[in-house]
Amino acid sequence: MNIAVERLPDCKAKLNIEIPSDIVEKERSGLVAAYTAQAKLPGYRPGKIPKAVIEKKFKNQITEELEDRLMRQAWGEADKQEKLGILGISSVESKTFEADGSFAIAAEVITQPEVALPDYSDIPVEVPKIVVTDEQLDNVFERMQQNFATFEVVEGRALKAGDIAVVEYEGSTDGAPLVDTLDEANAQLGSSEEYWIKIPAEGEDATFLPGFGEQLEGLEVGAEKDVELTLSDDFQIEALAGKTVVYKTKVKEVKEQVVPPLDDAFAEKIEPGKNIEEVRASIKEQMEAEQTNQRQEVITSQILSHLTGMAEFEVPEHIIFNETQRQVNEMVQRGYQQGMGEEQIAENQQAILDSAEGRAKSSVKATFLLEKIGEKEGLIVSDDEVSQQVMMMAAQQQRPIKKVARELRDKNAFPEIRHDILISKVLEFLKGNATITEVDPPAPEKAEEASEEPSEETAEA
Amino acid sequence: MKDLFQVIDTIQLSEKATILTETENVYVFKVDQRANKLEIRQAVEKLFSKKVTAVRTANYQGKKKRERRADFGRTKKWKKAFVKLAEGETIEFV
Repeated sequence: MNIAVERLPDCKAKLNIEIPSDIVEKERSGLVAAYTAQAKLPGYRPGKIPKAVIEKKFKNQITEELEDRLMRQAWGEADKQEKLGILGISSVESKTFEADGSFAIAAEVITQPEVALPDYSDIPVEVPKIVVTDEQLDNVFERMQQNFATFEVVEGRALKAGDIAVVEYEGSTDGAPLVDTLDEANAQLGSSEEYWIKIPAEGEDATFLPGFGEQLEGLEVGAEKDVELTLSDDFQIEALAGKTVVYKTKVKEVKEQVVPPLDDAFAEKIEPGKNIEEVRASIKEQMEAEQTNQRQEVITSQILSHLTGMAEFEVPEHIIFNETQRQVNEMVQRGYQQGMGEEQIAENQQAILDSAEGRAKSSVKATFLLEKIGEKEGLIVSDDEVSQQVMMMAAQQQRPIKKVARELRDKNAFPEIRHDILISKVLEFLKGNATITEVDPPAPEKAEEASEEPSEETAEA
Repeated sequence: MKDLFQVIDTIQLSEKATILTETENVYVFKVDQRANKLEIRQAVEKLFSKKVTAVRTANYQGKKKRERRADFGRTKKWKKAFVKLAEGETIEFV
């Protein structure tokens, strides 16, 4: 096999390969034999079709497959001989069968970047100290109290902020009942026999239509009032946007929110068999565990950014492009899940693209680096580890292991799993060798952001 | 038969026919029942522009076919023609 390599910038190489006629002929006769064994033609018993007939009848398929096989052979040979580390074929410029029976290919391939490893033995990492303040704990308890709050009927008192008004109402606009214009899903807006409306305290959001609750303040049980509201122009029901609606409202009951006191009875509700002090301690423990988890992610992200910052090398554009595509898809998917509309996504298209590209670049780079480190440190993924991983996956999906394994094999996913395990092993190794210093935790909001980023990075790696 | 184009129905490709071609330079056709040897010779010579040295024919009865009923029908009867070409002449099928 004649192989001529011309290295190009940007992790590409140009290959000119000539496969001699004897190899071509051997492959071809093998293919014809395979077709003879398989093909079925009327008039012939299976396996008894003359070669000449097969070669004519399946000429196109045979040629195609022959080209395919020869090219694959050529890539393998070129990879081995020239140590290119071919990652993919970017384009095949020409492929021809010459008159003397040999096969000539000219192609451009993407090669592994030459990674110059930075010093990775002692990566400095700063992590926030694990601190759970009393204030944070108090917040948690307050939220729980709200969740366990009960509403009790109060007699002989007017509605005030923070109360719940149980009302019956009937809405109309321009004299016509609202029920007529609303469909079934929104019938609640038109009229109701019994509806709970919270009178919003200062700074609280309205639970029903904005402005409704405020107008009820000061009413007593049995009082009636026409509540007049002007709906905003971008109200979600188009027919009503910008209109003025009148609700004939009658207060049926006044309820007051009663927050349970922080005592042992309350503790019993949260965790049976414990008093309030013990519950407090266990919640504190939970929060600390959460922070410890987050810390792992912070460490990972810091190690990755340190590595990618230190190492400078070319990364094949093709791969970045693919990764960018994947990132964009993922982000759009996430956007939909968070309830973004198609329009919103279209608006943010450029921003999504930009951030996806940035992420793709660093994650591709990180992957190459981690692979290289794994190679240098001689980290190997054993078959046992792969099968353990498969078992875990099966357990998570609650399906039989055999089935999951077969599916993975069909999808050819094992190399990928192996790769993932290797990457996580390398990360573990790096974490073990990093110097970790504790610093005071940043402002709480920042901590949340920081913890979100790395989880994505690890997933990509 | 007036129309030479209607004489030859199809080429019979089979193991037997292939062997005949390889050993005797004989090609096998399915032909119209009404065609005689002369017409077949003319048709092959005209349509394929080959020199024919001999033609032999055989009539085949249709095969019995039953379709869920006790009484049977038959597939069409047909005529087979063995056409021997002059030495060095070949017809490329497929």
